[in-house]
Amino acid sequence: MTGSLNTTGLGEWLRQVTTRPLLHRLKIGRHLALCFALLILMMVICDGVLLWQLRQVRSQVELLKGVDGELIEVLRVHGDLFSFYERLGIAARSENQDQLITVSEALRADVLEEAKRTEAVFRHLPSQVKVDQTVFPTIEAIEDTLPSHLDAIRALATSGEWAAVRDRTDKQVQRLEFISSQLVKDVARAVEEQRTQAAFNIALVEHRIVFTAIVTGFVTLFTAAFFGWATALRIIELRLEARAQREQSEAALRQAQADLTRANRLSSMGELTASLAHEVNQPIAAAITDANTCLRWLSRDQPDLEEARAAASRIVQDGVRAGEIVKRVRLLFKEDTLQRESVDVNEIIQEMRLLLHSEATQFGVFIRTELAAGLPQVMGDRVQLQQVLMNLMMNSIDAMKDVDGMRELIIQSQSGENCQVLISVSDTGVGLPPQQADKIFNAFFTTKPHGTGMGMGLRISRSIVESHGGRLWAADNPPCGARFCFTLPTSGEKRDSVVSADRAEPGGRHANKPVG
Amino acid sequence: MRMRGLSGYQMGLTIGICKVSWLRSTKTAGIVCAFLFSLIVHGDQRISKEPVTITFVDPEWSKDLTERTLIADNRLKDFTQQTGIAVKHLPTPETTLDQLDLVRKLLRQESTSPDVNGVDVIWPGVLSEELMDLKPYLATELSAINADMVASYTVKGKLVAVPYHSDIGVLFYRKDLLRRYGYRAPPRTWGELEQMAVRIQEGERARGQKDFWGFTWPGAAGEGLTCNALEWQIAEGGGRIIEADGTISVNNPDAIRSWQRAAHWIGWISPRSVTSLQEWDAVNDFYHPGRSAFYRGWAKSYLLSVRDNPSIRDRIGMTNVPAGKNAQAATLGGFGLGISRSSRHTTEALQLIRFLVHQEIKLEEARSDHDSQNGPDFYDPTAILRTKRNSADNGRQPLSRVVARPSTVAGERYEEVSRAYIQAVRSVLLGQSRAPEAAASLEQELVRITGFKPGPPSRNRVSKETSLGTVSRPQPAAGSTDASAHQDFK
Repeated sequence: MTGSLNTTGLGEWLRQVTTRPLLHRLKIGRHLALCFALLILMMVICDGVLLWQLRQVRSQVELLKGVDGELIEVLRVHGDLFSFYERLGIAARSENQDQLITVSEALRADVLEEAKRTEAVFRHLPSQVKVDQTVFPTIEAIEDTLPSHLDAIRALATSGEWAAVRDRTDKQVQRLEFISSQLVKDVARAVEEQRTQAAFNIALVEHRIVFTAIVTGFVTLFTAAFFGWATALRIIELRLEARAQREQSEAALRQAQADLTRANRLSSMGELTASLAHEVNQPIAAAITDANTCLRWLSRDQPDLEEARAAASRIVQDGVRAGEIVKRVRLLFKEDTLQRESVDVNEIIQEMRLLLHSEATQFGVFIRTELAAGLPQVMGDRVQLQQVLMNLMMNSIDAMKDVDGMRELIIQSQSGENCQVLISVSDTGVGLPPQQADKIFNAFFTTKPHGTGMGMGLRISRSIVESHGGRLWAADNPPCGARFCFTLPTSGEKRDSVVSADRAEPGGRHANKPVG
Repeated sequence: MRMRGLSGYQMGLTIGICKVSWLRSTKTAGIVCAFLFSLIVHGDQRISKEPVTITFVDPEWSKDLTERTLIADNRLKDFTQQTGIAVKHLPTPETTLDQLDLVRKLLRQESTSPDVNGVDVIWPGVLSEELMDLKPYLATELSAINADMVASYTVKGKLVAVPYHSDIGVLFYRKDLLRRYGYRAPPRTWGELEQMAVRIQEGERARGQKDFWGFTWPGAAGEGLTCNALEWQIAEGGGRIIEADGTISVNNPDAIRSWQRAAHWIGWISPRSVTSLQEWDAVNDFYHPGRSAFYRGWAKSYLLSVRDNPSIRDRIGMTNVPAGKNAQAATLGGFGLGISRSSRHTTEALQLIRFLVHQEIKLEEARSDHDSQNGPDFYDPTAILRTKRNSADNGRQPLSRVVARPSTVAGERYEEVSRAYIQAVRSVLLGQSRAPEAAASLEQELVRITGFKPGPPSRNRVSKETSLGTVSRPQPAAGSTDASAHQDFK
């Protein structure tokens, strides 16, 4: 009844335990919880068994004590009886009536005292001492018989029957002594048995403790090991899941970033379309002009072949130039595929200068480049780096649109610290918004009039630079304007030197100053 | 990516496998745990089961170091061999009054109470509260036992003990001395005994044995004296102290006369020390130093002594207690076996009682068969109390009349009655008071104790007693026929 109650109680408990959120996530099911309960149960059982065994030992010790007490008491009674017999025998042999009476009085008092003492000893024996049920009655019988013997002997002595006195002493009292010595033997044997039993019990206790300790230890160990293993497996599973999830979200983020980057590029290109058309138109117009010149030279009566050839080769150059522009634009529109390659930073700067030339010219901006010769190549994605430069340059041009006075865009490249290449784009525009210098890299932050900027350019540029292991930062360009710098590690440098690049930032800035 | 996926898959597989095996292993683990726990608990049993030991208070055992103890011990050994039940004797005091004290004390201490108790024929009334009723358990055995005996152990319909050993008072005599002084038969009356005792005493003293006495008997304060004095007064027609109808008849001239006669013996044919002789001292004195011609003892002790020491048969004879002017009577003695009410081994105790009673019945049947074929070799007067004797009765002494002490009528008061009686008789024997006064004060005392009314003894009552016992004559072994001894009983 209680058993079934207990099991349903346990089942209820298990159900409650296993539906707790944390345990549920760890998937600690009924079996694992049972495992845990088993662990606790084993410990409780082990402790219980040990306590029980300690109790056993204690009771055995008390038993031995009691058993010894019993033996001692019986021996004492026997010894007393022996001395009783001796004293009585001496008095009987003396045939002196007075002496015998005195002795018998003393003996009677002794016997009564002994009887009381024996009773007390036997009453206070520990309950687990298995006293032979004949021991106490026998002693009692002996102690009860002695006074009547004394009476009989006294009566015989008084009437002078010394032979009968001796007879009685020798046969009857001796008989009692014989019985008591038999009793001593029996009790000694019983005590020996009990001692053996106690020793056996103690040995049993010892074995049981060792056995319990080992068994409980092993079972606990195995259960705990299994419990731990199962939990650890589950935790590993959870970790793997979390990692996969993180990777998935990272990939999604990367994808989103790439899409955004491309969108940014496309929007930039959209903005550039007019100037790009103009840019493409120039060589075409030049080619047309040259073609006309060429035709003119050819259509003269005396065609000047030299001039015509020169014009034709100019046409070719124009065509090539137009083709290159188109190619560059097409490259910018191309779908992203991260392709790391050795890139010459100066070349990219020149390309972007060419690309943005007409845009700059449109707003009266003069582009100047100060490129350090012999810069090491940079490992990176050409298109992305072009995008960074384009973003920065477009920003600068935008910033200078409404500025009176000199409109100059300076692009510098130089060797930075730690084998890095430092590129800076400086303008003489409106400069950075005050107190918001740190916010310009945030997404959707823009100073441009509504509708003209997404607020993503700098954010994307920074992420591109950082993905290349470099840094992008902004600074004021005294007396007016802003200056954007970024570093790129050269191909000889390990990517993990980002931290050292960070530390080098203020120095880098400082070093840039004279250049600006 | 690929590597990670692979390891993840492997891990998932391992977990899957372990989950599958876990379901199965739970049950296995449960079984293993249960097994291990049972191993822990196992071994808490004792090495061996102790055989049942029952305790036995046997009044015949341990009185001294004689063969009698051995017989009792051997019987118990047989019992232990047959049943596996160990029996331990408790030593018992010598006199039946002391025995009563001890048994009563032990019975009242429940923890030490002996399982099987020897209950003297006079104590059923005193001990009936402490002993269980045996009637429902021993029907077969009881049918083989004399109904009168069974009745004497029955108190208010409760069979307190099963009759085991019966005994009757007898007179021992020295065959050699009787022959020496020309007597062909032992005395039949107290008068004859006095004459013979005086003559033999004088003769023996003249022959040089100065401390020779004619007649010894246990005169110390004890039940032995009650039995003796009861025989004296019944012989004279002095009644049974308290009659069966509850009349206190002790104060009558016949009883007084019988006491006076006994007091007269002291210093004449009995030694002065006779009043300090317990039965044990007296019988020892009679058997071994041989300082007297006649001794009033118990049949059982003679039979056992003869069994121990056959040479006694040549020297000592046994006959009926002498008769007086009125009648002849021998006191009934012996004891039965009862089971303590607080005994924890009632079944085993019953087994022991059955065993002992069966042994006894078998022994007596064998003896009676032997007697009917070879003539009575050795007739046990105590045996007739148990088995029907219908043969070999020819040529026998007149039957001894058996009287019981007034224990049945006095019931639980018998102990006090007996002690008062002993005191009164002793005061007369010791010359401390005159017999009529002693009888009168005893009568008052008994009235006080029992609440019965005094009255005259009913003389007829004695003759109504069933004549149960007869006294054997020890027959010489074949080949050494003693014609004169043989003649004694013709």
